[in-house]
Amino acid sequence: MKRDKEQLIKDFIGEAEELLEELSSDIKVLEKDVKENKVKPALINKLFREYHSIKGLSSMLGFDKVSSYTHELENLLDKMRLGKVPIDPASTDILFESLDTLQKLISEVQKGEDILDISKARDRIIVAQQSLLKPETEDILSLLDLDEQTIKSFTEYEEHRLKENFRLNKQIFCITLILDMSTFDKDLRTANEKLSDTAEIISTLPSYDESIGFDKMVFRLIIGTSETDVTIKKVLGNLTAQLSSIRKKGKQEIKKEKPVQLPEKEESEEEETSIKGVSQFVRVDIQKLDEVMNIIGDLVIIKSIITNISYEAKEISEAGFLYTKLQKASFDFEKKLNELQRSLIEIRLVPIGQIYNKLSRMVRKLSKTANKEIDLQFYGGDTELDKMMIEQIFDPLIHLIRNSIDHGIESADVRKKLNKPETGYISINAYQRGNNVVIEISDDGKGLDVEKLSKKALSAGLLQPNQEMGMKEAYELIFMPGLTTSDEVTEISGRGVGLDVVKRNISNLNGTINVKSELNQGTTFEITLPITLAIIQSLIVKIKNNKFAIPMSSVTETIKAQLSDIKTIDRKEVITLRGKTIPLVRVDKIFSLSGTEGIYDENSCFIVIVKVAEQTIGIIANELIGQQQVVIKNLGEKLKNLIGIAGATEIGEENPVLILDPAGLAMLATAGRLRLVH
Amino acid sequence: MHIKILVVEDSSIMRGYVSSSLRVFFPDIESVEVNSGFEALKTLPHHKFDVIITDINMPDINGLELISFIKKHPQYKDIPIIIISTEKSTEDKKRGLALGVSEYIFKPFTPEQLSAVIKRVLENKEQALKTLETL
Repeated sequence: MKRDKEQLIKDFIGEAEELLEELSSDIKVLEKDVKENKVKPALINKLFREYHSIKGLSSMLGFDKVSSYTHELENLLDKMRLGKVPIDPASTDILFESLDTLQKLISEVQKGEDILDISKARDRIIVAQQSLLKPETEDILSLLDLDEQTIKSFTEYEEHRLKENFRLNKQIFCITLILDMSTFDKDLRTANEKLSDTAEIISTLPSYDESIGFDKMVFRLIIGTSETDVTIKKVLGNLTAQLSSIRKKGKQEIKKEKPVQLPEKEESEEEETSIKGVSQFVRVDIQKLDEVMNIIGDLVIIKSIITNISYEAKEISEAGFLYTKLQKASFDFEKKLNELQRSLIEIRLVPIGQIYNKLSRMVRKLSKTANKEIDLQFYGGDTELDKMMIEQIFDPLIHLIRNSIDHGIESADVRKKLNKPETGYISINAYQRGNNVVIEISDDGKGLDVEKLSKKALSAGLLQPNQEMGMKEAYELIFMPGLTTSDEVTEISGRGVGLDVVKRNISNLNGTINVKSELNQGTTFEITLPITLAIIQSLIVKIKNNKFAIPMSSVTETIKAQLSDIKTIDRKEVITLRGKTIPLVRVDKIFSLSGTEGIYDENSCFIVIVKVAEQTIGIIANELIGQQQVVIKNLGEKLKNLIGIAGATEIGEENPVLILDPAGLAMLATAGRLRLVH
Repeated sequence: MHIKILVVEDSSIMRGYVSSSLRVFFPDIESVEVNSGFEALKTLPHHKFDVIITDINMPDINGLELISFIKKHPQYKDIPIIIISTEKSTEDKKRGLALGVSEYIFKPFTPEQLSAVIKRVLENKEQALKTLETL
């Protein structure tokens, strides 16, 4: 029985985070419903169940802090659903706050820490429970035409809802549905959906009727509604059912009809499958997928060994026949490997919408702190990205949004003067472009002030007086370390960490970031990310006897150049290509590589042109070896922050090969150009 | 002794916890896990269960409604039912007992506690069968 504690924690975090996502979107709906004064009781009950689940789980696994906190939330929601505590903006605020606290508590569990003091947050929930509404005392059940078994099966909550509906003078109907054993769950959900707009389903009682047989299920729904029986029947459509009012008083016409059965559905094997499958989804630890990815990586290596053996066989005359066979086998092997890689990558993909909820929560908080009304819109939530990517992109996104709220969006007064709507607008749009995913973060704030930027850059020594600068270069300045246009430090954006960190984080993901802006119209950041980081197509080159891999996604062309084509401007090597001056980088110089220079032609070299965002640079190489798919492996903690290297890979049976990071190299090349020191 | 149980619970961790807890004390246990009352209704005709363990708070149809159905059904009415719940739902506990539930167990519980409850329920069932025979 003793399951690994570590595994249990992982499972708990997985399930708790799922519940948190649900809670988050439900509370958002609740906030809106409270504003519009049309809160659905079912939503409150769902929230209750969600807190209840987290509480049950955490108490079972001994996470006492989480369980004592969610215990109070469960109590609060229980009182809300039973009408003992009002559902108003104040209680919604408490629920919003609980999302943050829970998030923190869960990450504490993850890290095995115990720092957070939740006593105040818990007290607020306890206080909120005390605003008691008057308890109901009337005996309403006796006024209803209900059999004993039905009354016995009501939960406290269902009984409360029944009384509420009665008190509000709603019609209370009992609907009997006779459904096929094999499809009843689908049919019942259809009925629920159809009814959800016009009625509240108070209880769903399955029952057994001998005369109908074992292959049928009888369900009795008790609903409360403002509509007439005719309307409800119309709503149910072909799910025709017996319907009767269960209010005793008055001369309410109680129609009794013979229950009408649903049209017979075709017999199918569905029954079998629906019994076996509890759920279509399996939750998998991403680390396990990484392990599979590593095995695939090893297989790629084995494949190239086989290919090499086939070449060796070719050289031996007696083994010539083996060559063709080996070649064929290695070709088939490669094809299947590619399929395997593709499927695995697909498994790792999750919709980016998963973080939208979290983002909107942050924005809600940030806009409150900044005292600015923000209208946040999300688009393209179903765009898929590697799970790891999605986790890593969260911080940069928050950073950009924070910047928008803090520095981009003006205060309401200023906006009014500028004839802008008082509420600021921020949109996040994700979509796929080829093998990349683009995420755009736009605001309608004041935009980037190029003049101010240049001044700051000058005073920070990032720019030389009289240095000419295009618009694009000016915008690039905001990604330089130590540059900010804001004059004061605010609570939200704080001090120190700037957009340079955002840019570095994104280039660590092999992505790029661009900015477009118009003064007083707004700013748009465009982040381009590869769908996955796990496998990349790369160009293998040799630089001074060392092999390097360059991600193909950024390679635009390769050229053969004479050394005399390379010019030096401001101590930097450049080459002119079709009238454009392109800065060059020598990887061997950057990393101080030793290597025999002699074996290469001293007079010519290859230049790999790579484009990162709007920057183009050339990487000088001695030899181009070929294209290959490589599995990226991390370099480990010590070398993690090395600029210019994205990771390492293994190709063939040789030593590991370093993967160059074009964004980092471009930064090194451009930083030198902009600084122009000495 | 071979026993077959049905676990109705919407949390996969809880389902797993219940099953693996029991496996220690009943090596020959077969547990069928479902995540909702609907699934339970679908599964019931296909197995012969010795015990049913269910949660109360579930979407669509809740634990009490499921119990009400089972207790009225000629084929299932004798299967002992154990409710897993939290200590706060005392009102619902009363209702469950009124419907004929055998035992209650509150979260958090240890594997030992759960097994003790199952043992008790099974012994009672055996006792009842013996009494029937002697009559």
